[in-house]
Amino acid sequence: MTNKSLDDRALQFSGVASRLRRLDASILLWLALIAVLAFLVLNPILRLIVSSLQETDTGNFTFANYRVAYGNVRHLQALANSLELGVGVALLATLFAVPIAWAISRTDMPAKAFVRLMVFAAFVTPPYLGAIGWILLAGPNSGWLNKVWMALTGAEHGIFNIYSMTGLILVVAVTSFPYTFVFTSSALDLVSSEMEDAANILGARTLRTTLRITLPLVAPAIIGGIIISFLEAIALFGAPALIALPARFNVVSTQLWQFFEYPVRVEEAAAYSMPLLAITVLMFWLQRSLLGRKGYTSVTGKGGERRMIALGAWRWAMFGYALFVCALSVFLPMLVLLQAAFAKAWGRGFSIDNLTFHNFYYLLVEQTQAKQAIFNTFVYSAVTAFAAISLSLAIAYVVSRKLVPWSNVLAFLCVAPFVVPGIVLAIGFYAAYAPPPLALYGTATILILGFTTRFLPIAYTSSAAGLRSINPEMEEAVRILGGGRLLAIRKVLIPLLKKSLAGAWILVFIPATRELSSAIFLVGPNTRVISVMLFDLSEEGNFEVLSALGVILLIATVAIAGIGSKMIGRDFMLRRDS
Amino acid sequence: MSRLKLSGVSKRYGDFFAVDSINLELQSGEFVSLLGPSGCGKTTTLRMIAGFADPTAGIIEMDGQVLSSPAGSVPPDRRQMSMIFQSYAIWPNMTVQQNVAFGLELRRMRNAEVKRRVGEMLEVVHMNHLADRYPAELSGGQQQRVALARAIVVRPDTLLLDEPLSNLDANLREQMRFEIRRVHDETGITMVYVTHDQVEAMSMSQRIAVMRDGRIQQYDRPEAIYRYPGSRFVASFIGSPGINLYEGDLISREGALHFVAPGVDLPLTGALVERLSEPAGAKVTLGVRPEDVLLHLEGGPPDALVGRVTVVESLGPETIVTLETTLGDVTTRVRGMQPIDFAMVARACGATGLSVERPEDCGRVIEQALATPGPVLVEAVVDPHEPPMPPKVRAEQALHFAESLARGTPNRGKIALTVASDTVRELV
Repeated sequence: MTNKSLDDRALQFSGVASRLRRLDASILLWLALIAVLAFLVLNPILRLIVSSLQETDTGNFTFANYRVAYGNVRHLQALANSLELGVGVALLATLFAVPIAWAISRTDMPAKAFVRLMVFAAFVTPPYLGAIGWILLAGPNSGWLNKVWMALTGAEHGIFNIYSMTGLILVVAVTSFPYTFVFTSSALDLVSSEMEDAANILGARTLRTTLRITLPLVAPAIIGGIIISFLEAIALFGAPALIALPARFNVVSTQLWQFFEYPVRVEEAAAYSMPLLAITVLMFWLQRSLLGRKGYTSVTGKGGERRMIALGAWRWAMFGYALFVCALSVFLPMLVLLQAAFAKAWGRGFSIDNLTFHNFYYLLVEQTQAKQAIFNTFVYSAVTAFAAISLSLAIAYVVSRKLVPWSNVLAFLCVAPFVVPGIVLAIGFYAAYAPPPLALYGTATILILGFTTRFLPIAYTSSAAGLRSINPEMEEAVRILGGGRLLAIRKVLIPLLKKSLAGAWILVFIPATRELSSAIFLVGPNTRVISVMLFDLSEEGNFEVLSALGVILLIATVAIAGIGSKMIGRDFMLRRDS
Repeated sequence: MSRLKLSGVSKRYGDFFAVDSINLELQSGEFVSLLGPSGCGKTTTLRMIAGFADPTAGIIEMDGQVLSSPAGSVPPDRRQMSMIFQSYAIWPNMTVQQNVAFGLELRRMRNAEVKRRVGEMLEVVHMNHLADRYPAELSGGQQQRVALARAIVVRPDTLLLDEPLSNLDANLREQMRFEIRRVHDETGITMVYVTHDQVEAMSMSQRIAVMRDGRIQQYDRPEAIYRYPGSRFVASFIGSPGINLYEGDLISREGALHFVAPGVDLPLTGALVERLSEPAGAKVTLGVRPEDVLLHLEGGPPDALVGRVTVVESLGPETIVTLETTLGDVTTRVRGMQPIDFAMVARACGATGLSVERPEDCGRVIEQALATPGPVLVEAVVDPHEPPMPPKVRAEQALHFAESLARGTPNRGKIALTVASDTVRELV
């Protein structure tokens, strides 16, 4: 408070030297962050592109990898298959999601909370567990549905064969329809009843209003959902590997995986992954421009009052349809999965003498690998979540407070992995860090780094959203009272962000625990995670133990998601951050 | 010695000057307001004084020592200032007590001393009983008091206030205005107050800097700014209803200066002449405050400007009457609302007054209006005690009704309308 000390400080800070010092600090910070991002994001993607143009041993420039990758009919067929899968899933998912989203958002369908919960359950179920459930349900002849069919009709053979493109489309659609659901319902929630009233007053009936007014208003959101589920489907590895491989056809992701069978041909894999990368980038760009152009601008405007449409007797039909979709996506697969987890042999059905806890005992006590995999999964995921959130929070802070010049570059790099399919990212990581000098292949480090990059966009969007919700004046109030920036962060910012950071942590942790497509390329013998182990078990055909492991993963996921919902509010994962 | 001094301070974002080379000096203990419309650079100026933004040109000094310059700045935490933010920025993770104690703890004060001073401070702002509450449990006015307490408990040299009252309702605002003035008078803290509300600036400040487009238009005492605005902008920005401005010529006649415009020949006297720098023969703008116009609805002196009443707004304690004259529109301010009633307005307009009380009467009144020679003023009366509609809706409805009435009239220029005696709208 004395004027003398104030004067001293003022003098001390008024020189050119201090200006340089301050600039220095911010440039150092920028360099540090850009270095981390270059390592995590930029380098793997660049290495992917570079190595696709390199000769395997010499590193010389060549197009040979592309010739090999696309000079084979089977490889081209796999590309076509991926597109078919993507389109099929996108359409089927829309068919599942849009009516349910509409019914929940706009009508008086009964048991909405329950249906919503089931959609959430489908959301947190890893697609490969759904696939395993469906193998148990609709495997040729032995599957439950087929057995029921044969028992009912006396037919010799079952009618369902999950090992087919149709089967694969169904399996992926039932696990990815929540994306379309989230997009559609958040848009529907913003359409005010007045818009519908306006149509009603002009004489349109409910059905006509819905088809002519409501749906067109949310069409951009639905298209956005279609694009996302399309991209989800073509980037997926687990479900296609479990279903397409036995059915003797390939999609891009399984084909990529085959490039990694001995001898590993990273360069060809890199070349082959380019269309996947290009399509993803293009589609995201398309989706952004679609939603940006008219999507929500026409729909926002305060929402207004919303009344539910009375469906009369149709509400039960609607509810039936919702239950049907939930049955396909949750009830049936989870039921048979549970049955298998507690069965001596799953084919022997539901009976007391078939009941056993041995599968769990085997996993948790007898066998060491599973324990290791479970431990690895949760430790890696936890570390990944911490790393991704610390990094993205630091960057979001620097960007929002404009502490360094060109901070937008940092933000861009943070969200860039969003447009890179996990499987492609993993190949980039492999190309960049598996060989010397770093030689990280098979280490926990490369897995954690890979996961961190993969989930950086999720972490960044939640951190940035959290930061945006806090008025910078909160910090400035600390500064003007004599506190430094670090004190402001520690005493005010972090305490205020606690909740949203916990939410962000869970949002990263849950997908990390189930991540398969990038893990499969980066794990070594000692770093196996549950998802990879599940995949290995399926190759052995050991569905009982596999189901038990799946149940363990699901219980852990549900527990964490439950804690999250308690802490941060129900269905925090089904919210759409844009 | 001047306490705070801004010399040639600018803040530029790309090609845009948020603040454009302003100069400002504050005496120690002075209360100064930065007043201007949004986007005029007042908040940016305040943030530069606080140290949250660095000037791109110019320097800010405190007692002769440089605080901010393009070459470097003392960070905000070393400036011995306090600030009340527009959002209050009360930390929601701390109680009232903790919020107020924060600055004292930073100054490494003993716990007992902190407690004592926080207690005293909360007493001053009447918040002692709520010391253990969290901000979410407080009303807007209470949060405002906490912000005030937190800012002054550290006994800052300078207190910066960024539109601190803009989020409060009218009654509370008046109360807090008084409270802040009291704190200023008791502590003698130098205060810089940013506001877009001229009433706040006029009532609280010792000096006001009126800003526009990043520049200071005028820096003077409130009464000087009101009586002797330095520019057209300041003249029209200050005062509500706005000042009347008229273009005219400055003419010298018989040793006196006159303002001459169509229908007006006004001799200028006193302070006005002393402040006038323009020579005779110049084109000038004359500003007349509405309260300086003497309105006679009937009679009046022979040389008075004659006009036709076009708008009447009753605000309760005063009534704003606008007339159309040869000079242009003249806005006047009349105390109370008694002098203005419909019949009188109708007479002032030189018209016959007719009333419509129910929509059914429309046709009858139109016929009557057309049968009456000369202009007619129609009043659409709506029962003010009719319950279901809020007054605004009622007024709008009446207006709407009146307009449709006028539209159906063949002789359109003839009928003027007034609604519920509150507003007269002419439809031509």
